[in-house]
Amino acid sequence: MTSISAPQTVGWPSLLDRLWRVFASPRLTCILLVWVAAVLVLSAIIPQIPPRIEDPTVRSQWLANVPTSIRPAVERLQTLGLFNLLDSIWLRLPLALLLAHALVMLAAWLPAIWSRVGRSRGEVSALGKSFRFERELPEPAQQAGQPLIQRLEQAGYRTFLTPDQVSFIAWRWRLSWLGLAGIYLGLALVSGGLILQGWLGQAQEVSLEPDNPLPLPLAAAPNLALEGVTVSSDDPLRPAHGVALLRVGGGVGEGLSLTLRLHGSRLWQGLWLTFVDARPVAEVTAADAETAEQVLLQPFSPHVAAQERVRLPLLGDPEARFVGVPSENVTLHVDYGVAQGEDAYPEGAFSLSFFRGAEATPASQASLRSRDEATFDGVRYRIIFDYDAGLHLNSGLWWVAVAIGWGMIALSFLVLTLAPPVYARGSLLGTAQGCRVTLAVDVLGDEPRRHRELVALVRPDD
Amino acid sequence: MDAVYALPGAVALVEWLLACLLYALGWYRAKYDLNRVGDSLALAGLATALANVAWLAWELSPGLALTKSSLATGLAASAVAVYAVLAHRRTERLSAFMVLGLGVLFQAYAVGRLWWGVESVPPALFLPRWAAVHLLTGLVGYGGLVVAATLTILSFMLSRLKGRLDLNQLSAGVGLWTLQWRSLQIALVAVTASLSAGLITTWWGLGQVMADGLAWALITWLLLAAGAYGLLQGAAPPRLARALLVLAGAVACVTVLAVS
Repeated sequence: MTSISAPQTVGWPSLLDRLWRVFASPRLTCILLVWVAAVLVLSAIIPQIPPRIEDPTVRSQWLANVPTSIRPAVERLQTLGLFNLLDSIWLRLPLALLLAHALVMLAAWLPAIWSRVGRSRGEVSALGKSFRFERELPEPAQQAGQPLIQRLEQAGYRTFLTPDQVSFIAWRWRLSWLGLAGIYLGLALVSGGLILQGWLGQAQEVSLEPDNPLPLPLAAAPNLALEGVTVSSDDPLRPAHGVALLRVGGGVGEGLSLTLRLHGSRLWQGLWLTFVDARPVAEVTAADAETAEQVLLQPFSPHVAAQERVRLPLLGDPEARFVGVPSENVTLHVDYGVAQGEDAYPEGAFSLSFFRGAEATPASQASLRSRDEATFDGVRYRIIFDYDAGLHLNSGLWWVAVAIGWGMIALSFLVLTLAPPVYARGSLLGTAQGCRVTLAVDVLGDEPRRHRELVALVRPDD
Repeated sequence: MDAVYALPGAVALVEWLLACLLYALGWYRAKYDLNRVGDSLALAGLATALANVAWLAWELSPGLALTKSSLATGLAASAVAVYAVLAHRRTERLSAFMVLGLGVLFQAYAVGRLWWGVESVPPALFLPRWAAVHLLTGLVGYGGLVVAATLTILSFMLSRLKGRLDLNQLSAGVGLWTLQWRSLQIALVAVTASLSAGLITTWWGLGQVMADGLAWALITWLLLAAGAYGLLQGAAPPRLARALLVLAGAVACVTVLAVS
C-alpha cells in the first residue's frame, strides 16, 4: 500500500497533518465503500419508512413489515435513523468523508499522476504496487543497455534510455494512470452530488390520478395533474407502450401540457419526471336508478372518507378491490378478466360481485365491459377501465454531477482493468563480472505477472 | 409452472454432477485422463442448461421473461462459461470441480423450484433494451465474480492443507492467482457495465422491473470495487481484499437467486 504524506511539521505532527495522512490513505477508499455498502444492506433488510408515513394507513402497513420483536422499540430506533437510513447520518457521514477523502487524494496524487503521464524522468512517488529487483548481466553496462531496451520494446513497453546508457525508464499504458484520478474525481462528484441532491432518500414515487393534482415544490408550477393515459398494448393490464398527458401549473385549464412516453423522462424547470408505470384501475361510480342522484362509495381504507368516485387497482392485492356502499349496506367487489371455466365472463371484462350486509357469498354477480352499467337494489353502478400514472419525481440538478461521477468511475475502472499501467525506472551499474541491472517498478493490477515478465525481460535465461 | 420444464435442467444437473465426480477422482488419484471426459460432460451440461433457459424463455415469449430458476441456471452457466474461457488450457481440474460444484448447487435450486412447482411466471418482462443489457452483462459479471470468489476460497484451502496433500495435489494451486485476477477483471468490467445499464434504466424510466434488485446490485458493486481496488492498487491487505471479493460473490448470489 502506498500513501503520500503532507509536508512534515517540525516536532510532533499537527492535527491537520495527521488528518491529511488519514485522508490521503487509499485504504480509506475501501473502508468507506464497504461502509456505504453496509448501510445499503441494512436499508434493504430493515423495512424503511415509506413516503407519507403521517398517513395512518401507510404507517400501519409499514409497521406490519417490521418484525414483531422490535416493534416495541420502533420509536427509539426511529430516532437513531435506522428506519430512514438512506436519508440519515449513517449514509451522509460516509458520503461526506468520501468527498473529503477523494479531494485529498486528488490533491495528493495529481502531481505524481501528471508526472507519470508526462513521462517525467525524475523521481515520481509510487502510485500503485511497487517492487524492486536486481539482476546481474555478463555484459558491461554500456553494452547491456541497448539489448535490454530492445527486449522491453518488443514486449510492448515504451522506453527512454539516457545518453550515457546507464539509466532508463520503461512504461506501458501511461495514460491509464489518469484512471486513478478519474476514480477519485468520480467519487467526489458522486458523493458530493448525492449529499446535495438527497437522491437516494428524497426521490418521490407517486401514483397520479385524474382530478387529483399533486403539489410540487416549484414556485412556477405549484401542482401537477394527470389529464389522461393512453396505452397501446396486447395486454391491457401490463401495457408496454403508452403516453401520459400531464398538466403542470396553477389550476384547472392553466399551465403547460406535458406529454410523457411510458418509461420516458422529461426535465422541466429542474424537475426530472419519469413515467415509470401505467397502473390499470377500475373507476366505479354509483347513482340512484330512479333519481340519478349520486350514491357515495366507501373505499376499504381506514380514515378515507366516502366518495362519489373510487379508483380500484386491478393489479396486486384483491382485497383492495372491495368498496362499500354505506347507504345501501352493500359491498361491491370488482375483478377484471381473470375468471376461467364454463360460466366465465369474456376476457377483458369486469366481474362485479354484490354482497349484502356481512354475507360472505355474493347476492348477485354481473359481467360487464368498460363504461357499461349494472343495477343492484335500485342503484346503478358504472365501471370504467382507466389508468393511473406511476411517476418518479426528482427535483434539483445535482443528479447530473452524480451521473457524470458514476460515468467517470465506471470508465476509470474499465481503463485500469483492461489496460493496467506499468512504470519502471532502471539503472545499470558496472561490476567486475559485467553489470547489475536494478529495476524499480510501479504497477496497478497483476503484480506477480508483471514481476515475472520483467525479470524474464531483464535476464531472458533466468 | 409445469414440472416438465425441470427435465432438461435435471439432465444438466446429472451431467455436471458426473463431471464433478470425474474431476475429483482425477485430482485425488492423479488420473488426468478422467478430466477430458469430465470436460465433455461439463460442456454438455452447459449446453443442456442453456437450452432449458431458452425453452422456458420461449414458452414465456413474447415477453422474453426469465424466471428465477432461469436466473439461477444463468448464473451457474455463466460461471462455468467464464471458467471454461479462462482455464481451458489448464491441466488441473480441481478448480473446475469447485466452480462446477457451485454451479451444481445453483442448478439444483433451479430444478427444485421447477420440480416442486414453486416457480411462477414472472410478472416482470425484460423487454426494454437497457434492462436486457443490465441483466445479461450482470449475469456474466456475477459469473466472473463467483469464479473469482471460488478460486480465492480454493487458494486459501490449498494453503491451509499444505501439510496433508502431496505435491501432485498441491500443484492445482499453480497459476490460480492469474486465473482469479482475470475472472476479477471480467467481473469488474461486466458488473460495472451492468450497473450502469441498470442505473440508466432507473433514471430514464425504461422498465421499473429492475428497481428492486438494483440496491443489491449496487451493494455487490461496492464490495467488488472495494476488493478489486484493494488488489489493484494495494489499498488493502491482500487477505482483506480477497475476503471482500468472497463477500461480493456471496451478495451476487443473493442478488440473483433471492432478489432479482
